[in-house]
Amino acid sequence: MLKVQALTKYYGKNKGINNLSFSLEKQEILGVVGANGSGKTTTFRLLLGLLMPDSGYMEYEGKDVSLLGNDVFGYLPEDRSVYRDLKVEEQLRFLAKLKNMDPTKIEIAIDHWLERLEISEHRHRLIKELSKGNQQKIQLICALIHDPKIIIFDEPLSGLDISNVNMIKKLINELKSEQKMILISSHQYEYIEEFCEKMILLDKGEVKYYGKVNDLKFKSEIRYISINSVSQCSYLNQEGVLGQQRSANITRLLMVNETKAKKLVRKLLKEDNLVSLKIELPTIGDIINHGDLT
Amino acid sequence: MKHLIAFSVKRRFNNKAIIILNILMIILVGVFLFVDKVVLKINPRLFDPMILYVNDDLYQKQELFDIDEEKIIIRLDDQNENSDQFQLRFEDDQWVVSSVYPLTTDQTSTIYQVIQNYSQNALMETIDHQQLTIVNKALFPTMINDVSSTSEIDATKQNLMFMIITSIYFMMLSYSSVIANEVVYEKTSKILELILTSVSAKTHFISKMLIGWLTIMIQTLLTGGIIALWILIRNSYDGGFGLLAFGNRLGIIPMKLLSFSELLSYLKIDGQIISASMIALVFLVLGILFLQMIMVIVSSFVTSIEESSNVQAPCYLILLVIYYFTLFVNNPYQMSEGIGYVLSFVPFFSMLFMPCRLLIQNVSAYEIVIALFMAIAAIIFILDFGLYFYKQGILDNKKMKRKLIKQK
Repeated sequence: MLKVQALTKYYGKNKGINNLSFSLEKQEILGVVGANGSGKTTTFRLLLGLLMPDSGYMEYEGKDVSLLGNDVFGYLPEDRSVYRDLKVEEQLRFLAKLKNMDPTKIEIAIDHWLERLEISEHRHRLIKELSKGNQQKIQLICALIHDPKIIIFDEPLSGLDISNVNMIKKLINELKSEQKMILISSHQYEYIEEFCEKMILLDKGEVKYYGKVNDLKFKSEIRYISINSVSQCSYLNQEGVLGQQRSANITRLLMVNETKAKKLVRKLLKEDNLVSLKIELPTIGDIINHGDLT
Repeated sequence: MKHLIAFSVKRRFNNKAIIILNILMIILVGVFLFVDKVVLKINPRLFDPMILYVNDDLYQKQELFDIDEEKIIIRLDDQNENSDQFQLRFEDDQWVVSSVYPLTTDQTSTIYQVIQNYSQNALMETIDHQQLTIVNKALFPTMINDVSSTSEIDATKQNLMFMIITSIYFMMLSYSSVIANEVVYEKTSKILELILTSVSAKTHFISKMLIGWLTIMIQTLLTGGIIALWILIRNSYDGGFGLLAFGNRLGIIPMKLLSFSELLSYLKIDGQIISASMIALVFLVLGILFLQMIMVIVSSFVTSIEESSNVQAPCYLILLVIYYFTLFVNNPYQMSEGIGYVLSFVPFFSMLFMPCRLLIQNVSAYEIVIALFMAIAAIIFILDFGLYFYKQGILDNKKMKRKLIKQK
């Protein structure tokens, strides 16, 4: 288990992260969510040993994280971190060597990962010649080649096309089933909902929420009403409606709470042209955007 | 650390630009050491002696010209009209040289020397030795420099100082930025953050220093090897005779030398000079290491490639000032007891001033040890203190407190 307790880090008078605590088991994915400057990068840097905390501690399997070898963590940075003028295999070999991998194992691992991410044909090509998606795959391999126990993905899906997004989503799920502990940060909240059992919401270095994703959704008072109707009318003037989105025949109403939602549903049931109607839990994005963190 | 060093050194030397540069160097050094053959192939008559045609009167007294027959030949005027023909005659108390084209500076100088020799020798025939001595004493009074200083300064070696200082300056310029640019590249390409998840910032910092030092060593050995190889080839070809004769003809080497070994004797390169050079090299390497550390620390704060030149430019300016200052104070007094003497102990400055002192005067062992100790102590201090700034720079943690960097 990875356990982080009361982790605090200040840059001079500026708060990097304050009193962060969480735990992570094998086969768990923890989402780290927050706006720019909220403390996500500081959290990752503290875990990776790039920074030292002012207070608090981090332990993995009962050992202080700072005493672990450099092969425990795998890190996929948000920015492209590659030597663009190197060949794919040279970049992978270099970073694997830095993790003190055995040369024979390095070659086996390179073969394995290039095949797994379907880029074996690019092995001898220069990285700068690869597409953005393939460069991201190379970065992924750099993070995974040494078979880390804890993997940190910083915006793993940003800027990727749909086929690559699907491939990486599949990979993340496979890694989860391989007993890995995974931390993911993303601005795309739908991916956090999709992958993560637990999440941390950070805001200006403070922890606004830590717990299960579904708990947050259930705890939130916000609700959605999905209306499948031929009618194109606006519901914004109805009581308790916070917002309205329309896509084809589906209108989604963001409601201030469940009581108001039920009240409106009862009213809407009397309308003609109605095909279907249902009350849904809000997305994480809605909860965060409306500041509904109970 | 060894992987970082091996990777970086391989990257540095196993690339097209460096390979082409070294091939170019092999060709250029080869051309230089066989320049006599190359030049004479292009212009076979370059060193043919000048033929000076004189009338019968002068021809009868040709021994008075006292000429070097490799440079000039006196012949009786045969009225042949060649484009490169020069006719010399004495009429109306004047020497007249007739030529098809105007004389070049070299031709003028050579012919003037011939005329001067003739005039002086003719004069000496008309006056006795005693009178000649009196005239010589009046025209060329003797001056003796009675030096009271005990320092043994070889004035001939001092002329080498300009070349040495300039060489050191350019070595500093070219090598000091080598590693700084690498740090800028790694930081701006964001690869540095990934590397630092595997090695500590301290390891990275030290490895950069070692990479810089190794780069200097390898490139110096490579260059030295290329030069040594060509010298061996030339030595086995003719012992360097042709090249030395060529240099002598051009006036670069003031006396006729028959082989490279004679050249070494002429330059007074003995064991003492070689050991002084070795010690000077140690100071040079320490100085470059010092400068590299400063440049790496400064460059760690750079956030874009464009910014790097702005940050490095002031360092180059400081180097230029130090270079001119060194040239300015490079005289026996300053090097023996003036500012040059003091600066030969000051870290970084010792890189320039101690080699100068070592090559022009005897420097005692304790002075060398003190200067070395100070240079090494300064490097250790910068290594420790600079690490704080380096970590701030590479992770962009401008407000990070010093206590936070005492990592595992």
